[in-house]
Amino acid sequence: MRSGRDSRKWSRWLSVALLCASGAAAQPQVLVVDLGDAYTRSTALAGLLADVDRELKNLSNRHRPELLALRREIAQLKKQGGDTRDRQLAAARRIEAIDAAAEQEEERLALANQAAIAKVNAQIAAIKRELAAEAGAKTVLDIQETLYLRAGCSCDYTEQLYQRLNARMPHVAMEITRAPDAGS
Amino acid sequence: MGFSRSSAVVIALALCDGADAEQLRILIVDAAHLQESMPLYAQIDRQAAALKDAREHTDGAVQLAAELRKSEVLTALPEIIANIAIAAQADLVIDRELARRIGEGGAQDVTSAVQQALEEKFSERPLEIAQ
Repeated sequence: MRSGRDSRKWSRWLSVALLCASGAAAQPQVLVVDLGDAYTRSTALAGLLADVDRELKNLSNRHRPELLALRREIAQLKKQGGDTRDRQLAAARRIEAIDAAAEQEEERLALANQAAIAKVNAQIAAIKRELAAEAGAKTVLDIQETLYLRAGCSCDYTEQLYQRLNARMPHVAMEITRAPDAGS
Repeated sequence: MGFSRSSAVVIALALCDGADAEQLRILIVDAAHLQESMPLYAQIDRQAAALKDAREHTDGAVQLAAELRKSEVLTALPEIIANIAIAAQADLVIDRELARRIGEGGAQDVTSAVQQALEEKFSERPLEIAQ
């Protein structure tokens, strides 16, 4: 009959063994994520893409009627002759002003887009740090940094990353700073 | 129960061994060497130089054939690496420099195996000059 002390000794060793086994088997030292499909797999980025598209269409539609009218006006004035020169120049200057305003709006849109992407990237970076810490991994590599990744590798944490990203950041808003007199 | 302390140690070591086997098998290659400076590229250049000396084709056609061959080598590189990784039952192949940065510099280096496979595939192949 073994004493309670002996029993505790070997059970402690077994505990060490089990910890050793479970720890090493469940914790790949390097994690890999594939962000190649981020614009379809991240709901925030997919939404952002749609938002940018919509803003660009709005921008185009906002200026299009006036631009068309001004171009028609210039064409008609040209047909009428030389005494319309000042009115042609005024219409041309107005077109230039609209184009310049549209360009500025596009730049503001691009900046807002970059800022929104940066927010998503910051969240991705935080999730990568969390996943690495939880798995006890040294690092999280992007699949682009690898030369080969076995299909089904336990180190592939792409699913986990998108699950967390979409739960935590289902949408990202673009904050566009609008000029008060843009295009008007 | 019939467990002794030494039995428990043996079990512990056995389980730890098994656990290690579950860990990632990482291979490394010197990607810059394979993409830019391995002897196969110099060999392709020598082939091209010999063809230029023979003056059977224009220098431009020979140069183009050499560039295309180097491009073929680069295109084949990922597949060769994958084949070697699969044969070695590896999980991951990364560049040697990256491996060093993330503390995996001691992983098995298969650069020479990849280089050899590329040489076997391409070194005997004559350049194909477009007519």
